[in-house]
Amino acid sequence: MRRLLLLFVAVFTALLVSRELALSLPILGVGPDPLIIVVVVATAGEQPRTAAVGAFIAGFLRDLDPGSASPAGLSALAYALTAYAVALVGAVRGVWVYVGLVAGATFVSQVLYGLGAILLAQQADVGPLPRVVFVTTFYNTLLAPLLVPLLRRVVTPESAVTGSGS
Amino acid sequence: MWRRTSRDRAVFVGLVLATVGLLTLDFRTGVVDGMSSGFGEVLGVFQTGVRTASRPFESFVGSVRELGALRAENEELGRENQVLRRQAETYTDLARENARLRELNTLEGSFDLETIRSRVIGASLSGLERSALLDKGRSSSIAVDKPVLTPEGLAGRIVWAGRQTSKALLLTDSQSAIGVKIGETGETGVVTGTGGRLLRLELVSRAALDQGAVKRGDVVLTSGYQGGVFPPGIPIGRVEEVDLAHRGTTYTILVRPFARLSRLDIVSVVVGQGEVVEAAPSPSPGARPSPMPEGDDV
Repeated sequence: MRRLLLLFVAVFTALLVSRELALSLPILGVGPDPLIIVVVVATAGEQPRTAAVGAFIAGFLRDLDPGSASPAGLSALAYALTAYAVALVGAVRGVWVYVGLVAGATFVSQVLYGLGAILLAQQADVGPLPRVVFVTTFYNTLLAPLLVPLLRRVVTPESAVTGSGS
Repeated sequence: MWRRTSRDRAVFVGLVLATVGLLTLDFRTGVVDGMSSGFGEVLGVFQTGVRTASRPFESFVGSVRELGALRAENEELGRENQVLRRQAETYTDLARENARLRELNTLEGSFDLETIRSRVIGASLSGLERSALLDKGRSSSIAVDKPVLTPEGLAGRIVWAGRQTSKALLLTDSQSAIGVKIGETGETGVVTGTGGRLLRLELVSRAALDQGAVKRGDVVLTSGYQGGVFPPGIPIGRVEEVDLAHRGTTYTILVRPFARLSRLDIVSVVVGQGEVVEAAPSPSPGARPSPMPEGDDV
């Protein structure tokens, strides 16, 4: 129960940080996606199906944010698929492995989200997609070494801490 | 080692079905909009606090970005002690805000507009959308489709209005399309966002382009079409590039917006409008748009 509460606080805070950095410190007009960092830390070492369901809920909250351009369910599905893949990697040790995982997960989730937006005609122009994907991945990779150690203390699953894996 | 089981497949199928269900609800009913509105209000309350806390940091980052221009001032500030430097940063921030408010007053004074001032408290979570979150909403008479102004000109329009917060779609968003006219010739067209820094102008009449009706440096203004969403004559930007294909009918006209959309701070949301009494001042010398005579925007 305590972990669930901490996860909710982490997701909520990530959304606020996301809005703030997109406004005050964008890179080439693009902000980071700290929520996927929370998802990666929370799901690495988790059961894949649990990871997928948890990430789906986190993504749905992102979809509900009016600051998000996405129709409800799009971020949710992109996060769920990404978290599933992250969970398959198993328990992770070392901040730099997490950083690599964050970079990969950000890239995958952004591509899935962008393609979904294009398919649903939410995004008429494909042109900005590569820039958004690469800049968000770069930005998240910069943030990961700062956020991962903090998040590991609060949202890492027990199985990952004990090293039992899944 | 983990193995995929039928339960995993069931979860997968369940999530895909849930996504389809949510998308259907979102596109066909207002259920998700209601939930989004409530969640947005809660986020907005916290976001205002985050914004206030981050202003000194943002001011610092802004100063670093303008390092070249501020070098002389920085040398002078360097001689001051830590406390005075902090006070100077606070003062600079307030003075900048004051100047922006005066400029906004000038623009609004040029039109008979009833406006509400609002502070930008966030930006779009997705880099694919160009939008800004504002700290005022329906409780301040802000509603969907209301124009959003900066001191330099039009910034966009409201696309979502919660009780205390709202969201503005910026001119540069690829979903944005605004009826415009060219200041010099009155030629009409539509300006659309490109997702980048520039806008794309499509003219109603291709023949007018061949006759040189649009050239680099022309000022682009709102035409006042679209059921009165945008008042006529609001400055949008300046034609930066006119590229005509040697043969055929294709052409590209790019417009640079006057509004500094990447650094929005305080904006005005138009909540009521009357007749245009004179043209708005331009943001730089030589950029002043011509006054539009009545009926010119037809």
